[in-house]
Parts: sequence; C-alpha cells; structure tokens
Amino acid sequence: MDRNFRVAVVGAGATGLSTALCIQNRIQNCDVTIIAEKFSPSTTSDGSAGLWTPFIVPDKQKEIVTRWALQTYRYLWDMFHSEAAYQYGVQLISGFNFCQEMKNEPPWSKNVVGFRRLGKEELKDYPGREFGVFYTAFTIDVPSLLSSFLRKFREQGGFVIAKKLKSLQEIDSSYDVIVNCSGLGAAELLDDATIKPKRGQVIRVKAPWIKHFYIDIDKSDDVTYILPGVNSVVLGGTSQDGNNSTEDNQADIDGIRERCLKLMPSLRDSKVQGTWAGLRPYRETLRLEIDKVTAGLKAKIVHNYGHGGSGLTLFWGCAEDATNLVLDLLKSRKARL
Amino acid sequence: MARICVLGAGVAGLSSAVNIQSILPEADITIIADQFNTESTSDGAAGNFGILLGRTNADICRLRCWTRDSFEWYHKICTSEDANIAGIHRTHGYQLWRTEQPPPFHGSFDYGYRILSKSELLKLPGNYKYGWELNTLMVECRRYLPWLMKRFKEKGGKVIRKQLKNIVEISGSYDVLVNCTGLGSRKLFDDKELVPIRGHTIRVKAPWIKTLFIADSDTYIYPGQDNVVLGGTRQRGEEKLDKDQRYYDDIMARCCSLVPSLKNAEVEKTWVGLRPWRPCVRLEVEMISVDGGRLPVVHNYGHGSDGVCISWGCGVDAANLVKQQLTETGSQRLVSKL
Repeated sequence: MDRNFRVAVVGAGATGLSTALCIQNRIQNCDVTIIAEKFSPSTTSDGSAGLWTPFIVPDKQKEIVTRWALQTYRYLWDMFHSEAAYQYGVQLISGFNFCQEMKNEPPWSKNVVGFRRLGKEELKDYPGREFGVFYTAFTIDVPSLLSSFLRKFREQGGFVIAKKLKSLQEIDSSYDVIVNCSGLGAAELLDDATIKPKRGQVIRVKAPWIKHFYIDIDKSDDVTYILPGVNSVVLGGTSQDGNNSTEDNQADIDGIRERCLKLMPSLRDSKVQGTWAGLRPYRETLRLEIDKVTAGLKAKIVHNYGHGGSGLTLFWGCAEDATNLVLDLLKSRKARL
Repeated sequence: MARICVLGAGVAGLSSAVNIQSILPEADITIIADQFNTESTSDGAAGNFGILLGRTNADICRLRCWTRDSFEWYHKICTSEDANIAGIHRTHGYQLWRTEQPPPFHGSFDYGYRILSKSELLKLPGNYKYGWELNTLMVECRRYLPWLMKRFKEKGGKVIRKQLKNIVEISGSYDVLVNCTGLGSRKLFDDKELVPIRGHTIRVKAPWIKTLFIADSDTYIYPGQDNVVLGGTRQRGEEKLDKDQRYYDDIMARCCSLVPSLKNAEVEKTWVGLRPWRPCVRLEVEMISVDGGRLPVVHNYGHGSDGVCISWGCGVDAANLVKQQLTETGSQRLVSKL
C-alpha cells in the first residue's frame, strides 16, 4: 500500500472526537478526518453535565458496558493525575446516588473508589430515601474536553470538515473506513429507526459551595440530580421518550427547581446561568460494530453510536474498541492487497 | 441587667457572644476587639472540620463535647437554606499517610471516615501506604464571622473597636468578662503557656478541585466556596508576619505533586498567621481582683489549630460558665461602686 489509510469519523461530540483521537494515537500511516455538522459548544455532549456514572446499563450489554465504563474511569483517573486535567475539564468528585432498592452491587462497583451503600444514619439526612450508594467519580466540563480533543487532533495532523451529511454515499469514495459517531444523526444518515431521542431538560446555576453530586430517582420515576461542574452546577432532569424538542419547557424547569430545592435548600440563592434541553441518543443496544449489512458502499463502516445518557461514562472505552475494529479492517485490507 | 463583655471578635469571641445572647437574652453584651473579619486570625484559617489528638492535651471528655456540639451546629446550618451565606459546606476527600495511624478523633463526630483499601491507595496521589476517606465540612470564616456578627447585632449586641492594653481599662464597666483574645492573652493575662505557631496558606482559583486532600498532615488542599486553600506550614515559636515567598513556593510544590493540575491555578491571595497554641485550651473561670472587688473572667482561648473546628462547642461552654457566674453571685454588679 503506497498511500496512507484514510479514515473518516462522522460526528464531533464526545464519541466522535475521542474515537478520532484514539485512532490517530494508535494507528500508524493513517489520515483521519472528522466530518460533522455540529462542533463544540453546539453538540449534544456540550450540554450534558459530563457525569461518569454507569447506572443505567442495558441488560443485554451489561458486561461490555461495564468494561467500557471502567476503561473510561481509568482514563479519567490518569487524566486527574496529570496537569492536563485542567485543560480537559476533568473534575474528581464524589457523591450520592439514591435508588429505590438494590439487590446486588452493580458489576462496576468493585473497581470504583469508595463505592459503598449508604448507612441508616446517613440516609436520615435524606428523608424519603431508603437506599443509596456513595462513590467517587468524575464530572467533565465537556466544552473543555472537546476543545482539547480537537486541538490535539489538529496538532497531530488531523483534518476537520464542517458539513452536514445526508448519506454516507457522499463521502464513500474518499475513505477506506468510515466510523459513524453521529448519535441521533444516525436516524437520518442510516435510516436507523431504533435510535430515539430521550429529552433531558437542565438548569445551570452558580452554586460553588456544592462539592458533591446527588442523583435521585424517586418512586414516580422523576429523575432529580445536582451535578457540580467546574463553573456551574447542573440541575436536572427529565427523561422523556420520543420528545425531540430542544426548546426549554417551563413546567419541566419548575419541576426540576422544586425537586432540587427540596434536596438542597441552599440552592434557593443560586443564580441561574442558563437552561438547556438536549436529546440523549437512546438505543436499546449501543451499536459498536463493523457494519456487515450496508450495501452499495466501497468503504467499510464501523458504528459507534447509541450511548443514550452514558456518553461521558463510556466514551474512552468505546473509542478504544472502535479503534480495535478499525485496526481489524486495516489488517484485513492489507491481507487482501 | 448583667453587663457582659466579650474580648475578641474572632470565631471564639463571636461564638461565645452569640451563645451568651441565646441563654441570657436579657443581658447587655458588648464585644470589644481591635481586629474584625479579614483582620482576624480566624479569617486565614481554611476552616476544615478535623481534629487529631496528637496536637492537644485537652481533657478528652470536654474535647468530645466541644467537637460534638460544634459539628451538630455546623451540620444544621449546612443543610439549611443559609449554608452558603454562613459559609459552611460539606466536603469529601482523602487524608494520606506514610504509616498506619490511630483513628482520627473527629471521625466519631463528622460524617464519617473510612480506612482506604490498598487498591484505592494505588489510584490516589503519591505512594502513600495508609489513608482515610474523609467526609466532613468546611467552615469559612470569611462568611461565617459576618454571619455570626449579624445575628449578634440583630439581637441588640454592641461592638466597640478598641485595642486594650490592660484589663483595668474596662473592668469597672462589666460584671463578667469573656476572654477570647487568642494570642492577645499573652499580654492581657500574662499567659506564658501560649506559643504562636505560624502558618502560611495560598488561596487559588481552581474551581475544578472539588475533593480535599491532606498529606502527611502538613500539606493540604481544601476546596472552599470561592477558592481553594493550599497549605501549609507549622512553625512553632515564629512570629514575624512577613510573607516569605520561599514558604509559598514550597507549599505550591507540595500541593502540585498531589494534584498536578493545580499548576494551572491562579493565585488569589497569600496569607500568614499565628495559631494561638497552648498545651491545652483554656476554658475556665478566673476570678481577678480589680478595684477592690472580684471580677469573673471566663477564659476561652488557646485553641491552636482547632479554633474554628471547636468554636461553637467552646462558645456553648463559655456561655454556660458566664450564666453560672451570674446565677451564683446574682446579676448585680460585682465591683464595688465607689
């Protein structure tokens, strides 16, 4: 082969950028191009609180999702121990996750620092909650993460094209492999009817005295969370199936505010910095595989989408696995030539 | 009506004054001090709720009361709407040691500590062989002192800014004195047991630091509401308050080796202060002779590094001693009126 292997990564959210960077880091003689409609700070990832927490794990993929989550956890710890934690927006933070009941510890808990069930004494401070866990995790300032990823990607010779693709045919002839990290965009791009928006409304406030995260899923399935980021605290939330509106909803905002105030009365004084509604790219199973089906394309397709609300929990593990698949494709291409 | 004077407006003085008001609502209380708020030693303290037995010879029983009462009070504020205004918030983090340690004294009173496992220690900074997970809180005097002062004044408390050279300047005007002058008691009450222990801190802007770290007990990173406090030094007997840059450079280096991203932190303010250390806290009544009469002085000073931590409990104790004095001798003036 006398020219470099050409890889296109579609999508520039946390999944796309981490995948592109991972491919660059691990594959020699490879030209990587990111093609995306949206870039930070306008991606879905940017609006999220950036919390690492693998709580909502599709049963079918329990093992693999646990592995991706723990790989990402290790990556974040390594980041914490470096000066770059600042540029990449990686914040070590611990907190509470209240749940309705917990028969067994989740599979990832043994590898997470400080994971423990809350005792009766502790739960007294949170009336109405009968179970909960405490553990050490991370929240990531996503705009910092994405801008650092993109900067590094460019420094290492990566190409970036801002373009909304209607179909993969448009770029098929220019690349050997296309890595699809388009999130909800896959619905249109691939005609995938199984990826659906799960709408999340959030409020960002200034509350720098809050040093823990709090997550609460109460009996009525209302989700409440207080997630301190670097410069703001994200209050949430909602998880509305099939709602694809990114307009703020006042009833949602009022509900979030009321529930968060009950959990943390001092939020009364916090100044609102903004509100946002984002669409989690939810799929029953996270699709991370080589596409065996898509006909009419010369390029090989690797899929890496459908992370739902766990994008920032799984991104690095998924990026590594996607890179493994690209490597497999490179090897089989070399074998054919 | 009893006339009470509290000397000192640091965390000890304000806590005493507010407690006295609470159990003696009829009393006339005046705080006399020459240093307020940012001028006080308390203001420089990080305010981490944590206390180890090694540094104090206090009566364990009393120390337990002071620590327990203090934490209950801070916890109440911390979970209320006023948490941020009063400057009290929950914290979480790690204390790392080279060798095994006995359980931390404060661990029985705060939100709980846990001995770290080997695998956890491997993930945490440095190569420490032993450590604790800490769940506690931080009482920041930058906000807490003005919050206490507001309550004190709202209930009719009076404040006089004055530097006292001698007790006789005011002894005729009050029925009970409450001495919360910290190191000031060296001159004012001729206390030769007080030893200043100098400390340096750096406050930095590092909002991504949400976790506290303490290493070898002398290097610490405390995430405050507005900034992160880095420290420290513990220089026994040193009194000069010049800001020697070498100490700050050393603190920065030690903290950065724990959390390298601190290299990106912007320095907001450096500070140097003197911990008012005493072999044990002096919290007791002394009868002093003045103008042919006897004047009870309730002492509440010499808290060393633990001033903020046990301030409320000591204030409760001091207030009870004041009430006792007034009840025993009646609320008339104790000094003869001539």
